[in-house]
Amino acid sequence: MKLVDRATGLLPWAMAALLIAGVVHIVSVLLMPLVAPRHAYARLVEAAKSDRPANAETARNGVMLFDPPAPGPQLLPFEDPAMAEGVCLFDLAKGPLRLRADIDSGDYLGLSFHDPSGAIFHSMTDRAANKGKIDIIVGDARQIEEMETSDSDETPPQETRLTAPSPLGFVLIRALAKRPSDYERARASVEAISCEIEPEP
Amino acid sequence: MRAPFDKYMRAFWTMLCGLALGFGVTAATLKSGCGFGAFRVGPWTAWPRAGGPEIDPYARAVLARRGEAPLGRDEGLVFVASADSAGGPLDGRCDYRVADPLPAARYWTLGLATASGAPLANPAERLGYTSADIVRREGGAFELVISRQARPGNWLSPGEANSFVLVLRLYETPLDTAARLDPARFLKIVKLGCE
Repeated sequence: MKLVDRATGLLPWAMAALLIAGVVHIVSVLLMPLVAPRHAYARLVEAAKSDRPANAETARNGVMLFDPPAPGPQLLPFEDPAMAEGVCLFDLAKGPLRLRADIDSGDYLGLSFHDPSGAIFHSMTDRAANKGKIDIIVGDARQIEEMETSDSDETPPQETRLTAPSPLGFVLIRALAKRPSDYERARASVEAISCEIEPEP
Repeated sequence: MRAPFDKYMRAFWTMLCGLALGFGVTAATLKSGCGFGAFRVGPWTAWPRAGGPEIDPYARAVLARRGEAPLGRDEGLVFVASADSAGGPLDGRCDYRVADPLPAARYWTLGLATASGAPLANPAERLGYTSADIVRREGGAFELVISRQARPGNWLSPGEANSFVLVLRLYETPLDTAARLDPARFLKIVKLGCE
């Protein structure tokens, strides 16, 4: 009898503990992208800032090239060693990002647009090129809206416009080297891409 | 005199238990994978929803914690296998044969990695194969052997690693991830024997 009394006395506390556990679990999962110390964006910014880049070359045309893939931990985990890669970091507070690429080789080129946690808000490949060119503007909602209002009716915009969900983020560029000997060529096609801050209208 | 104080202690322990349990559950779920919407074919698992805007909070948390930048769904699909087709964990001391068929894709690549996604150091000095440089038999079928000992043909070595994962990336694949796929129509991983 005493045991039952004790159990019923503890039951409300156990329920309260479970409720707290549920709240803590949900909040910690939702906050993880913000508080994770080594998320993709943090890794890339660190690599871009370091004076002697261990894992990445310095920026050219706004594109930071990754080191050739090698055994051991890489700048980002689970990247394909068959890909030559580069990244454009953007901060929309400085203005919209304009990415231009000429597609002529016919080899695979992938572009993925990420928020700082690594989640993707848009992705495309070279197949999406228009007349051999990829021309993209990434902006926040206000910047894209301003561009749309300043459009004239006669000349439709040539570029693709993407609204980023957060002011910070990055564009990951992956070019496939079909054979190990193609790596330099794939890397050159990443290097040929330009990422610039677009002056606002 | 003792009773009210006792209640405070209980409330304190309740909160502590709640916190520990909550964080414990978070740690366990984030360790186990990429949230909802897993696409499984035999030993292979892909997370098609992690590559698009419809990503769920669990997948988002997993990516942030690992520091991973996934492949976009329009770019392709990544499959990871940590077991062979019979269900046994992949062991670096064992030999495996990986064989056709594969779903349609513009290109694919196949490589070995550690469970945390780093390429493996190996004496073959090859981190993976692509659909363009793998050696095929007449008719287009191929076979790849994973072994520490050098093998003729398509050979990948796990080096000194004891456990590893196989990573298959299908670039620009029309694969329908809403439907079930028969494991017989996907890459098979067959254990050949162990040291």
